[in-house]
Amino acid sequence: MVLHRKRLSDGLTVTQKVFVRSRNGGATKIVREHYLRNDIPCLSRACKKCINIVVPDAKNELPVFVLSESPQKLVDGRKHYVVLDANIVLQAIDLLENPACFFDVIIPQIALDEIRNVSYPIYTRLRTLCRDSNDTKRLIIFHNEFHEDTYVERQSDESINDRNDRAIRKTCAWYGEHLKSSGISTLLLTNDRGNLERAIKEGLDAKTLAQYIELLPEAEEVKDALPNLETFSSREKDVEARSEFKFPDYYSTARVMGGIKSGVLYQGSVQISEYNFLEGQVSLPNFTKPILILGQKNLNRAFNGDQVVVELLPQTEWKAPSTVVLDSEHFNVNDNPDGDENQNEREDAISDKQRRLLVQDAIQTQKSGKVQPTARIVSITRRSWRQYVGQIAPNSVDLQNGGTQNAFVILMDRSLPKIRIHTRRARELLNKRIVIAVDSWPDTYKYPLGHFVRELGEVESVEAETEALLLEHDVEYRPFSKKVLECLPVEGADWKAPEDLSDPEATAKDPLLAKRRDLRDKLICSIDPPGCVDIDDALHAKQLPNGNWEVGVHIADVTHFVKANTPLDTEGAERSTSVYLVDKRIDMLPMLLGTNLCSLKPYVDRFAFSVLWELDANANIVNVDFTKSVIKSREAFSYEQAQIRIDDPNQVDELTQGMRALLQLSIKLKQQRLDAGALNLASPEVKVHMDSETSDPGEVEVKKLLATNSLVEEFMLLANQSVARKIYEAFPQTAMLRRHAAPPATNFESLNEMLQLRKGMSISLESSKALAASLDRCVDPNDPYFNTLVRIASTRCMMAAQYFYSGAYSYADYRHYGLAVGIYTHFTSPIRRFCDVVAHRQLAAAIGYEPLDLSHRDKNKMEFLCRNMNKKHRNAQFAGRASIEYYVGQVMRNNESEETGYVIRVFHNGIVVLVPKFGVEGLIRLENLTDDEQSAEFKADEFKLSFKAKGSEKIKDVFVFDKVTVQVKSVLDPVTSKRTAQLLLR
Amino acid sequence: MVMSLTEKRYLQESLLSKPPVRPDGRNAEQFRPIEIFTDFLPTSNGSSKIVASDGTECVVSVKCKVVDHAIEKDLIVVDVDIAGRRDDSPLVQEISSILNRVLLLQTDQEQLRLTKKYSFKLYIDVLVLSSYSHPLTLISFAIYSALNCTQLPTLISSKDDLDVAELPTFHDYDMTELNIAVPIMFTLAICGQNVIVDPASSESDVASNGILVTWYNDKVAAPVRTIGLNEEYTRGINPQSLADSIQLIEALAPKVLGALDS
Repeated sequence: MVLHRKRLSDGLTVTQKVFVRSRNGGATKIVREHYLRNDIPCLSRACKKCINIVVPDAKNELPVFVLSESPQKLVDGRKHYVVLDANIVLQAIDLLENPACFFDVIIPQIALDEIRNVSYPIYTRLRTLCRDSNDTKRLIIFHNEFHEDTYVERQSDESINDRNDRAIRKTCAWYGEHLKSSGISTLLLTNDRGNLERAIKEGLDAKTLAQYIELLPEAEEVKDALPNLETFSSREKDVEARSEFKFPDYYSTARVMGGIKSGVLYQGSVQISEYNFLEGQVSLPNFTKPILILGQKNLNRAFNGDQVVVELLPQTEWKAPSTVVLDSEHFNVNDNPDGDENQNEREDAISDKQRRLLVQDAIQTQKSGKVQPTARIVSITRRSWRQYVGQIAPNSVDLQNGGTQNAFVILMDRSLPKIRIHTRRARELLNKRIVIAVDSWPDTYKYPLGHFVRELGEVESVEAETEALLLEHDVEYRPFSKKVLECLPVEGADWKAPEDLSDPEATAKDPLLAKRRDLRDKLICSIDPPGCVDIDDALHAKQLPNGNWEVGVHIADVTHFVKANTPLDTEGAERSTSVYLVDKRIDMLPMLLGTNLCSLKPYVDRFAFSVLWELDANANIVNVDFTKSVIKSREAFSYEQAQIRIDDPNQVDELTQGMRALLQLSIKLKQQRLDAGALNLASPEVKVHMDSETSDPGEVEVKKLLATNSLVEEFMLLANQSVARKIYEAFPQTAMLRRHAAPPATNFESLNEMLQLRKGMSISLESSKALAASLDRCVDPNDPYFNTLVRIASTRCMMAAQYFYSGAYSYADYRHYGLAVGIYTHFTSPIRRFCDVVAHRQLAAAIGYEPLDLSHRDKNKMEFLCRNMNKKHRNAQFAGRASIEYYVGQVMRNNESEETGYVIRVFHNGIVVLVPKFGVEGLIRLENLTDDEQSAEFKADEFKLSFKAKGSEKIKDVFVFDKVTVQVKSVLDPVTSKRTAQLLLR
Repeated sequence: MVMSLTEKRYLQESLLSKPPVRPDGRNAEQFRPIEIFTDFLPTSNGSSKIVASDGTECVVSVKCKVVDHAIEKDLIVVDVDIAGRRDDSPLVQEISSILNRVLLLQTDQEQLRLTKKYSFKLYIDVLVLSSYSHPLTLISFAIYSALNCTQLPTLISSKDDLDVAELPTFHDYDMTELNIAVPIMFTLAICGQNVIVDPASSESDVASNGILVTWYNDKVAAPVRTIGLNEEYTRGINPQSLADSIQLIEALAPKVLGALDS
């Protein structure tokens, strides 16, 4: 089809873009008008012409000329700019960000579009890089698609990629011609063989990434960060690394879409088992239980968390979930990074009709027996690849070899395979935590290919380990940017709440001040863990003349400082939560707010958002009122101090009386809650004491709970419920809420089976009340800890609570199962949780304090917000636990001891033991249990592992829930150089 | 144009004379000049515009959709819209029913088959912008030209999807030419013993009957039928006229197709 350009006016021509969109099997021909202009500048300071054609943009600003007039010289002395194609950016974004190379870079718009389609994270990184590097690296986007001279029309029989490559070549040629007089040459970088050959044929100066790096003066420094790809140049060289081994090919998109539509293929996200990296599960809506995926071939290169498409395997291959523990660190330890081994391939073809019958069988089977339907992965829709932290496996490195070599990197996340990297510094990097990026996983490679990004430091050093776990849990820990800090009050730490709320000068600055209530006369105090600096909440209680109690919960007024749609707001929403590590806190909001201006510190005036109830003597709500306020906390107690003060009969002042009243009311509230069926679950939480001088971990202690803990907790729960009801009333579609779904019975199946078999007990799932009662009945008179153990196990069977907006579920599903309340939200910790910030804004709008920002009234935006909150919240929890685990490991390093433990899982080749004292659980492998591995016998239906005990001929039986004595010591795993608690049975 | 009784009488007599004397001086087998433009609508898969010398103008656009041919049996649908006529007027209904029938009956729908499950369905939209004589011949020429320049998306997924389901996926740019034999239709006016092609509006007004002849795959094909051109003068036809018409078209059609294809 002939396309023609039509001149509309001077400098503006129109042409057509035509393409076919196939979607859901249909084919739509789409025609778009495309406008071309002649006022797009080259943005080079060396150019004398473009300055005459530029026009201001919508903001009336002229484009900034970024590219230097004297750019970097290559080793041959030429001054140069580089034009990148999309793949170079996608593969080598780390290199692009490296301050040592890549100056004066031109990114054609067509490449940028492609990058956005392939990987949005890389796109945003590139955008940030372009925005922030004007003075240092100088990257620009050239809008070649809209430039009259560089726009190319697609030719018939030309693939879109070829057309885009041609557009990029045209851009490069245009720059070359345009800047000819200035003596700057323009290089084209591409790793695509066809593009490279065509470019050279057209007379362009084209290079592969590797060739280009060689030409740079600082080649040696950056060579290591080159991505490890199966490029056409390496393919021939690397032939020995590939062998007969081959993963099955992925299905074509047409097949995947057709299969999903006709119900023979299913899409879901794969979850790799934490005990066995060759076993995955995919939860699918059609099936009651997750579908199993067993083995390397069936997993077909999927990573934990990838979006995949699966196909059921024939019935003969259905299996029970594996009872073997397997992790990548100990699997094929002796695999050579330079070679891969053979495996046999078996093909079986079944038609779709048979497959549909298979689905029926699969659903039936799930309901009954032990054997589970299995499936294989036939396509990966979206990769979950990010940067990973790991360390080089020492035995994969040839110490004699000083040059570049292949090495395996074992990742911290045990459910991931090891990564093959190509590095010159393998020897240097031994015993270091390093960050790597995954590049590709061609079907002929047994392990994915990646490249080195940077090193974090020595294994086991606090800095390296802390950064590693923050990176691993996707926690943003970089300092707040300038833009964010600019949103803080200009007065800084000197900010003060106005003395008089009707002071005309103050009200002129803040017109909403008049709506604030002055509560500075109330006797308010805060009760927090010792050493707490971000005080979210404070309380007061006062008896009213009618005998009822006025109780107030006062929450830091964060939204007074964090206004919607500011960079500060965006950053807070992105972080979503503060992260608490043993020795470090990663704040959601800048320090100035969190620990000073918002924090309800004692003896100073602070803004607050108050919930005021009138409660009767039985803690029933008579009346509730919400108001923005200004308060003055009289004292900041720690839990212990508060307890002492309440218990001290000599203290009879009003403040103490108020606290006593609060305590009495809270006990009644708690009883009401428990009567309604609230759960009392447990987790093996421990606290690490740090030596205050050296910051070395001293000892580990299991967290203790005081009555004052639950005092604060009860009133926070009450406030959260009251607020939830109020904001739901005001915003029935977008109220920010939190729910906790009832656990499905299947989650408890295996636990119940164990309890039934071993102790003759069971957990009832009819309601949360029944569950709570049955948990109370799970008592072993000989072992007081047993009940806690059951509670810990039950916690793991529960669903996770989640943030949601009210329009996402029906009212019946708002229920919070664990707390046994009908509607719930988070309102009381706005300094460290973003949900609370949103709840504050919605409550402020509900009481007519200020109008609600549109973004909190938009379902899509709320959906996005909730999803991010849930993710970050989970990550923060994991990061916190990982931090504790690390420190516990460090503590145990110094004190080896014998402790009581409980067997919580039994495998074919090992048992998992929980040690309550340290809150650690560890696997004891069969080889450490017995000298004679052949003697071991595993009975899955009895949860029993029998083996000959070490050093004796007697057969020892170990059942699940058995109380055992174990020797706990911390060892450095020689393969992974990871310190783990090693347990040995005594 | 409205003629007086005398004018009509005069015209009728001249057409009855042997050979017929046509008001514009044409021979019995001569067409008026027409102009055809093809493939001018970018968003449709095929298009044509035909303009006759009397000002009759007709636009045809062809669009396609992927359908499951087990569910949708009719793979071609023609929709006719004549400016100034209601959709339920006899003329519009007659033309659209003839066209739908002819295209469904005569064309080889195998050509539209994509895979074992899916086919293209063609939607042919006919818009007659202005008409001064019976528009069927022109519409049929326009459809013929439009279908012959129709480009359909190219299938890149596999053709056999019966056992292993696949959703058809298409190339994002390349199109394949629709290769399909299209029937064309001629209207002839009968004036006594004479048969004349392409009757002008005045000729239609006095013709004693009209005959529709379909030409498909190098021969006359069904339907061949009478077609009312006016209400005053219509009477039965002589079988000889039918034979004459067919003979005339057999001689004429290859030349017309030659002109349309060039």
